[in-house]
Amino acid sequence: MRHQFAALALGLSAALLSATVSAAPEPFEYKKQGRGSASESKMRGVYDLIPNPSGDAAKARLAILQGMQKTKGVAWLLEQEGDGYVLARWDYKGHTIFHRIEYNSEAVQIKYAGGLNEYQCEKQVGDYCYKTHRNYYKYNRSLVKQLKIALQGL
Amino acid sequence: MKNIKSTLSSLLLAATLGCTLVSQVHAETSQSFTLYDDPLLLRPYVTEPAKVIKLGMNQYQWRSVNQTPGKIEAELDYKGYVLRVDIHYNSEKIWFKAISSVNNGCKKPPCEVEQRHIDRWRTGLRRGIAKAITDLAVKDAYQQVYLDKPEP
Repeated sequence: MRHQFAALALGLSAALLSATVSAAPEPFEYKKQGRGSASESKMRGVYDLIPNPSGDAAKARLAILQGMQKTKGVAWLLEQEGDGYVLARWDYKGHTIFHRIEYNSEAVQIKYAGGLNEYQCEKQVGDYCYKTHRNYYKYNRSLVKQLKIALQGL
Repeated sequence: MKNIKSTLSSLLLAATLGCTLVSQVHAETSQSFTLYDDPLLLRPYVTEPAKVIKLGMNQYQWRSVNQTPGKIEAELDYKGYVLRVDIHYNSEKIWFKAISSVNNGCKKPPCEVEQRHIDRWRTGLRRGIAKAITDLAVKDAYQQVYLDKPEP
């Protein structure tokens, strides 16, 4: 009985730990998806880790909230937030992108959380969208740029 | 032998439960969204939800026609189009309920309002409120970084 209980506890702890670990910035691994999918450089332009030079998660959060409002054209707005992430939303002419911007003391990372109309993802692998409207990868350069500027500024 | 079997069964059960939890985390991270019907979840730094709602409404020319605790009846009256939305709120979230949309500017009013107009105006309302919440989030983040420092 004791062994069974210990095994149950061990198994649950391992599973819960892996569940917790998955919602944090992680090195982006490009996986070639075939025809029509975004190139590695386009994908890395959005999803690569952005270093957090401050070493402080609270500063990363501030940088994200400040940076996302300074993008060229339409600003990103806060949809919701939780421990270690900001869910940001961008709207343009009836089309919408949702990004979960995760952060910790070491890095910030953009992950695809969803999209509406033109920005729905046709090929999503984990937290990364390999195929959507071509402007997705172009418009997000501004978000990445402003996040980097904001992080450097703190 | 029996002990090994029952221990293995327990491990298998735990792994299955764990996988369910992990997939739940991933399901939460891959939500499905709507253009303007999803609730806006609030954090503790939003102490006056009614205030952020009104700030957002003002930004996009919506006005309050009636207010009761927990609900603001919002109306947009623009070039003959009249939209009404009930905006509900509590300490945890703000959510929306469409009431009516009418076009009084057509030849034989009232007429229906084109969906693309409804989409634009209701998205604007939501964005206005989201902007007010974002500004509060920035203030909260600034406070955490610069004002709430522990003493050395």
